[in-house]
Amino acid sequence: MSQTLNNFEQLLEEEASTFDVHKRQQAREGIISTLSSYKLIGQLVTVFVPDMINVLIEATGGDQTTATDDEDKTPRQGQPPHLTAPPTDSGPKPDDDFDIIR
Amino acid sequence: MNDLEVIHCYLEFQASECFNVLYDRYAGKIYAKCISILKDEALAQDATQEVFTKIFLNLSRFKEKARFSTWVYSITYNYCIDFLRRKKKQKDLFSDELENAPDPADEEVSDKVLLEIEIKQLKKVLENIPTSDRMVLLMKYQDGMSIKEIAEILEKTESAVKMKIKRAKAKARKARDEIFPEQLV
Repeated sequence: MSQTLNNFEQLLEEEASTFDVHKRQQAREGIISTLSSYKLIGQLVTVFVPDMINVLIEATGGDQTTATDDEDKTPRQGQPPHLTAPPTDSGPKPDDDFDIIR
Repeated sequence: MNDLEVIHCYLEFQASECFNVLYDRYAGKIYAKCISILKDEALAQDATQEVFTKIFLNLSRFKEKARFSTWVYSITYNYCIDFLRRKKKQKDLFSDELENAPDPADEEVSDKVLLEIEIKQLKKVLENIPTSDRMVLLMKYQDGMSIKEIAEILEKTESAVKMKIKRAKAKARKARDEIFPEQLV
């Protein structure tokens, strides 16, 4: 499909052709080199940052292992959940649905 | 393959062929815009490299709301505006006239007048008007951007952009009349 270009567009095409092969190639290599550097930095960050965070957590006295004992959170056999849930100090929340004592 | 297909291909596979397709499609045009604004071949080449790096680093952020070319050129214009701002230590390349009240003496120049200028003359005319005026004319007539899109790039109101374009057209015609007086009817 041919499209008629106006004089501004024709000027753009004309000026674009002054970007010769040598300059074009130089710029292309520059871009590829920069993008490769960013990619390498990204890979290094992906590999090392999680380990660095763990080291920092350990250094500050924290425990990097996370709780995985899901079975502690499940009700014991034969008991309803409200009897097996861990005790809390927070008490009932305002939104909880309680029977009103009349 | 159209631009969007190439972009999706690049984002999915990081294929160098896709990079090359987009580069070959836009490198010359970006260079032409940079040279038209910065008026220096070496600076334009560096700018082309910087702009392309920005484009590829931010390719996943392209939302497909506008044409890809509009997005590419908006990055190019913003880069050039920032460069000139830093170089000239000028706060805002577009602040001088946009803030001023419209001049009733400004005469409306029709698009036809500008679009009928010969290419060689047009090049000369554009070289002889201020950079900010040249930019808005390129955005409107070369890139086919809407007033809204230009306003977003320049971070100005649409009415301010309309006024800027009107004045830029008047300056372009004046420059044409001065440089090529034989064109006067």
